[in-house]
Amino acid sequence: MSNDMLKKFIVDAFEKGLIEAVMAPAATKDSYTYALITKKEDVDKITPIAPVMQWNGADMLRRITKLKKSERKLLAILRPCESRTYKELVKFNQINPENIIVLSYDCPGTIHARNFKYEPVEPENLVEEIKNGGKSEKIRDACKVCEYPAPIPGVGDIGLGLVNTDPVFFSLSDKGKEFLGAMGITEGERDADAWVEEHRKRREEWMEKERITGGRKGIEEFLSSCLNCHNCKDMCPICFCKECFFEDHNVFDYESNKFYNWADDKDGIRLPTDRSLFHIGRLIHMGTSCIGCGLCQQACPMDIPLYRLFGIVGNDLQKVFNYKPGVDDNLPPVMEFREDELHEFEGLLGGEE
Amino acid sequence: MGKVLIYGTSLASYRAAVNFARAGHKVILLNRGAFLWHRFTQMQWQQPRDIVNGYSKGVLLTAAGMTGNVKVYHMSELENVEGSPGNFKVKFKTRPQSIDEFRCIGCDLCHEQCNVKFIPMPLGPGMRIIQDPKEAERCMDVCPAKAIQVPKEEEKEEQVDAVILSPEYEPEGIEKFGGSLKNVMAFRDFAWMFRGKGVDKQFLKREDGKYPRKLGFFTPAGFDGYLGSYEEQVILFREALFMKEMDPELEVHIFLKEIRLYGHNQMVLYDKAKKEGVEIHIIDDIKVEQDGDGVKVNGTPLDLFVVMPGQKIPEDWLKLGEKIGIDLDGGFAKTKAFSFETSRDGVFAIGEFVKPVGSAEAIYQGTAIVPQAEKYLKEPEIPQMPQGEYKVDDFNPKVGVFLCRCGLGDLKPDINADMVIEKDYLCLHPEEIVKEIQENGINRVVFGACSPALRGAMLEMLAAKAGVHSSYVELVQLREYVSRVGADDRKAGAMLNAAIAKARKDVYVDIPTVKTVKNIAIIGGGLAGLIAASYLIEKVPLVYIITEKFDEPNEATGVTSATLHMSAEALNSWYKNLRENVLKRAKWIRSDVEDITGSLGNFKIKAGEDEIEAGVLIITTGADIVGDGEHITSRLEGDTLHSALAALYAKRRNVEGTYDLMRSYSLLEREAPEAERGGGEPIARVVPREVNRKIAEMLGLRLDKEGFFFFAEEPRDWIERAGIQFMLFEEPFGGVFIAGLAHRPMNMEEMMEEAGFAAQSAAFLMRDIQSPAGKFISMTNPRKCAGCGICVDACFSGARYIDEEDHIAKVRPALCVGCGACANVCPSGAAIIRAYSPGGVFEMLKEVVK
Amino acid sequence: MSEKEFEPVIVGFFCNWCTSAAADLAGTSRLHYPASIRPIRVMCSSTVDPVYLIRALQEGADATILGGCHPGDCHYITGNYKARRRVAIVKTVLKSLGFEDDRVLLEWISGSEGPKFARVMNEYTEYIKKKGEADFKYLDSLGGE
Repeated sequence: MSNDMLKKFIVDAFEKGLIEAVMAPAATKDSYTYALITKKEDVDKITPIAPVMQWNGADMLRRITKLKKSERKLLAILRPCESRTYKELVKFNQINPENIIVLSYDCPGTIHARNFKYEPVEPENLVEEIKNGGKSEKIRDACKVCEYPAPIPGVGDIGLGLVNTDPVFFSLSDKGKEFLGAMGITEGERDADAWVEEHRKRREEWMEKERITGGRKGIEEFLSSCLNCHNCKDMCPICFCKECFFEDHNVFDYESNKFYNWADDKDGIRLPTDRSLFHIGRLIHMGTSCIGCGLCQQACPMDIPLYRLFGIVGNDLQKVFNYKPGVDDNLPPVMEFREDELHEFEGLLGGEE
Repeated sequence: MGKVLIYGTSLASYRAAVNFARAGHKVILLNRGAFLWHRFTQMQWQQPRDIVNGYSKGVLLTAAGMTGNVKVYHMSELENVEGSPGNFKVKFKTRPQSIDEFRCIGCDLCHEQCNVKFIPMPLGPGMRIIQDPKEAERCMDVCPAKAIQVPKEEEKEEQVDAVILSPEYEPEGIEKFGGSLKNVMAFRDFAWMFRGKGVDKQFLKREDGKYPRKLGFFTPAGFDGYLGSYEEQVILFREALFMKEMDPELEVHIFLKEIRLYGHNQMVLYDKAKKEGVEIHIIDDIKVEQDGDGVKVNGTPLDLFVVMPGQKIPEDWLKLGEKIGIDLDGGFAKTKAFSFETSRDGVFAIGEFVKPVGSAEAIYQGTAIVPQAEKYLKEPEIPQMPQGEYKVDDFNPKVGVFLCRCGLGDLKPDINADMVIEKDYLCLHPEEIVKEIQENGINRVVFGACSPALRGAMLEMLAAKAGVHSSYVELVQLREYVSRVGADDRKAGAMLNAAIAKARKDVYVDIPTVKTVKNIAIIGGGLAGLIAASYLIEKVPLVYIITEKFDEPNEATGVTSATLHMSAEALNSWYKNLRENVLKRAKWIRSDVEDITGSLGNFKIKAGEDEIEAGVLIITTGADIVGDGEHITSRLEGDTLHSALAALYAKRRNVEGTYDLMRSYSLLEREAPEAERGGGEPIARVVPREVNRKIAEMLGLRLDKEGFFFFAEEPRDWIERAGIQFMLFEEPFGGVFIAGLAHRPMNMEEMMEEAGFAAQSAAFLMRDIQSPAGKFISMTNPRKCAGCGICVDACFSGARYIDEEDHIAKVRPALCVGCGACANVCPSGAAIIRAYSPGGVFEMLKEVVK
Repeated sequence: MSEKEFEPVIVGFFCNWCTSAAADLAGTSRLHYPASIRPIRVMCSSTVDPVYLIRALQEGADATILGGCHPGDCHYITGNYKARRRVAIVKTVLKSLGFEDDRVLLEWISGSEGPKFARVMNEYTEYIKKKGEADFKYLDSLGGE
């Protein structure tokens, strides 16, 4: 059982003095949240590989280390998407990586938190399904089309292989190599390429099929049931702002006449205003760094498949800058520029006349 | 207050006029042309599209307006200079322009009623001339600004402390290189084809209207009689790259006898040209012949051949030398060693008149002249900024719109404001505007007038006089953006209502003043450091020099070169004197620098036992000179680029072989070298010091690949600028100046120029200055800032940093220049330019689309 | 709107040092260009938040232009490179969602290029005229087709 094995790993690490704390999911009545433990005795309270991702683990690490670095040696157990978020947030100065070891694993995907509430699944069931390179039908859309379901070298420190093998550990960084050495664990190998490739193939098909097109009509229809609750933004780990630009009352509160004028000019307006602008604006602000964890979609109370919006447009944006968030070592596109680039965006016809 | 006379309108003299005016001296600028810019500067001849052109004039107009210290005489000729330094009597003839460009408001009334010639120019109302004096007399009453006068030649006499000569550059003809053939043209005419219109295929045409598919560029560097700097080649390479970028199909050739790309990271141009497929031919002789429809150059068929000529020595330079009584050397003014002073005391020469220079050197010289001339000048009177009392009220806007009929023309926009006041010419009724604002209790002012570049500062000042801070003032340029370009009432209304909407949302911006520590630290023992210190010890309370030892002058850096005129013994005693003098007054810290923190106005430096504070740093770490020849090279690796001129020197000194990319610009050599091409060792070369790396890291500066510091003109890799940025004086560079061999290989004369530039600019920064950003100062809302640091990466001037204590981005007001890049990139709206706050802009956008 | 000839509204954000100066020059030289251009002077092309471009379209502009200095000539050294990244982001998002991304234009026009300024304004207005009214302004409204 992979969870038991990980728990043993954690106890071992505690005993060897390699870690002083662990951050990993723990079960609640209807779901799983993240938990922080500092004693090996508490290890049974956690479920390292949980079937639900209620929050992004990197977002939790951000809360712990944003102001000051971690004062204890912390082992964080993160899914591959979370570990990519972790790497991205380090670039954005939101996580201080000092004293943190990240362990990531071949991810069986997670079940939509609401579905799980009404139809719970044992944690090991999902793991069983990928043992032979398959996947569960119950997992979220975003998980089915995940680009990086397996740990990536250079992202996080330790990988745990589950696909096509009994659990094996391997290192993703020098820090991880050292850690595994100190644990006395021999690094293993497994072949998950075909399994990853299947995900990516599904992703390509999905992107082709699920793209939101049609300009204004398309986006309006797609967002037609949007409550303007901004939950998607609250759950997005990349939206790390303390206060969202689109919630600034100095900017988005208007005099009554402005509403009436709009209604005059546009033959009636929908209220509340700026609903689509919020989503488009959010794409502009964070699209280049969208990890693709799909939590926006899980957070939507109206079940709008938001991952189709953020995942696909984000992917387009990342292609323009040739940037893979959370995987590449260079800075996010919004943080840098080059002198000789992007000439296709200059002038009317992309520089060629 | 001192008073100087500057003769000529070269790039160097424009800059000198600005610097004297800002330092608190009166300037008389004798312009030989009919208006500013009439006589071309070197850059206007060589690259009429370069941005340096516009700003050389723009900076002068701004400084003249701000300080009131500059008086320009047109069509003037210096007659004679009598007396001695500090008390010269200068006589000159001048003929004022029919329309005084400093008074002209560009209303164009004269256009409608008189026979006026109009010359459009960037930055300003353009130039208007009435040729016929009778017509001018008739028109005098037409002008509301009283700018029209009857041009009459006058004799003037003025008393000045020093005289600075900088007559303009003139290019050679191109006849020798096929200039008389069809489809051979001077570079200037070629560059002019695109002037104002953009580099675009549709404008590239031969005389016969055909589009040339094969282009050749040539500059005769190294040929008989050629005089020129490195800049001709930089411009050629840039143009060749522009052509390639415009049309990759174009075949572009460059013909050169030797490659003079030197320092300033200019070699990237050569590398890029090779990469982009520009063909570079290294030639010994040139043969240009007619070939059917096109020309053939050394056998290569071309559709169009473009020649960039060198500099010539105009007749009037010789006459000038005679008239003023200064020695010339082959037409160039002879100067005293380490000085711009000519053989006559108190008379200085700068710019192309001294030696062939690039625009960077011209601008350095125009700044370095100030401390040199100041020994003859009376005490400066530093211009004071007026301090006003302002009514601050962010919440109860009462918007007053002042409409200028001159700007609005016949349009009748529909405006929605608390108060609309119309005047025929706003700029001619300053008192009335102040009165109206005060009497009506207006606290937001919208001026609907002309371009802010013309009357913006003046109108803001009027509002300030009436107690309305500039952050509550909006300018709408009705004239240039609306009435003059054929717009309608709808656009005028939309533009005005947008400004009114924004004005209602305007908030008070408290512009911070930066208190600087009044010390200057010179880091390193390079010769430039001692020279800079010698200028500064008189002006600044305390100058630190931080170095373990000083560099002795090295013969290789040009002791016996044609321009220094100095024996080795004389040099030695000069150096000893300099060092003694400096160390008497400056504080020498005998240790190497260990740590530098802080920023402009407040650097903290650790060196050995000492911890010192300084407002500005000058870095002169010097360099090691390997070998003992007279000339210096910097680039040794890579393609061997042969310099024929270098071979000439090798031959004279009886050294075998030829040499790799020698320092070969600004040499006064006119005879063609007999040279053979080949590889070889350089006679002497400059090796930058290891400490540069450490200093660069501490201060966030960049080094080039050899280890010299980049400075000012060189922050970009892609297309290298020919000249120094126009910003050279305007921006404080983060309070760090680089001079001498720390910057690039150079001779001692150039060290003097750079040291003078650094010293003068540093001294200017010793005043407590308002943040250069003005009302566009960047701020952080700590409640919103998540400390992500995107703004820190976006800020080019280093004005932003993340405070480790509270994890929030902070602003260094001394460095902020108000570009707004931080506000743009900040996702949460924590970084803001209050003058462009999203609230205000959103209101504005709603109105402007009406 | 239907009876009259379509008069587009194009909001231009022009940097203070280059494109605004070019607009000044076009003005002093009396080079006419369509009244549909609504210039807004900003300090640098990098001052313009991408949201401003979107907002201008949403408020009813048929197109927006961002004008800056030529690469290498930026008064703030690198402002135009940053602006180019922002424009790339905006255009990609618009295109990706099926909007017309050519309603956002990025142009480099230097201070002495008054004629180029007028030429670009004329050409772009013609282009937008042919394209017709922008749909974006009806986002979240009851209007439009």
